[in-house]
Amino acid sequence: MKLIIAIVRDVDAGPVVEQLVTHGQRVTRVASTGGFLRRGHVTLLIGTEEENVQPVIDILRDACSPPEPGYHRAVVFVVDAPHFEQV
Amino acid sequence: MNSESMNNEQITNYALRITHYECCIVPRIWYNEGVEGNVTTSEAINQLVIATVSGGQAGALTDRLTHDGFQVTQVDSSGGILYEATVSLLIGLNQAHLPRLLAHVRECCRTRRRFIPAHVEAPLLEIQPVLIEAEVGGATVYVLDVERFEQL
Repeated sequence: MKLIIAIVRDVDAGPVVEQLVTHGQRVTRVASTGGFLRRGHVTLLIGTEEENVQPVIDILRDACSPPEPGYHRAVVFVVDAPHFEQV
Repeated sequence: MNSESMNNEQITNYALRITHYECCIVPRIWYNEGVEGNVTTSEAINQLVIATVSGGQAGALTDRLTHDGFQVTQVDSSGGILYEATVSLLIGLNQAHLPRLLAHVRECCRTRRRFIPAHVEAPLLEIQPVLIEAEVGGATVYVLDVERFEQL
């Protein structure tokens, strides 16, 4: 199991979450701020199987609108989750 | 003037204001550090730091880290025995810069003692509110290995 932590702009968060849920991914959405100008961002926590990591990153790339010059669509960290449990 | 160039001009104005603000309040030594230490642009990001700090200290720490070239995402949170407002910072970085990050956190987020009024039920007595001594501030830092890092 992998945990994907993705930081996207708040305007893109709605479509991204919708796309991920449509593709059967579980998403937790956390409001956050960051960057040089402290603009609104949304942090998404996505727990998924290893083989779904690339598809999720592809969804993120497609669902986010093109960035302003010098910015990125999204920042993605993939970390290992040795133990995952839904209670 | 089309809308795109107006936008650019607005952005430039904003950037200038911010730069001015920095020059006013940031001690020069931080500014120099920021210029030299370009932490996250060229090297591989292989660790993710989740630092939970108290709300009052988060602003200063974020400023410091941003000036030193770290890229920081802030998440508002709360926790602890008093459910104090805290801020969780997500920082992606190369392992080599971890000691410098921790030095910033140690300097900015010292634990200190504060007196907090305790709620004591004493309806018939007019007494001074009882104060309890509590430790506030400090930081909790988790460092996770990043298997994969992407900027899309």
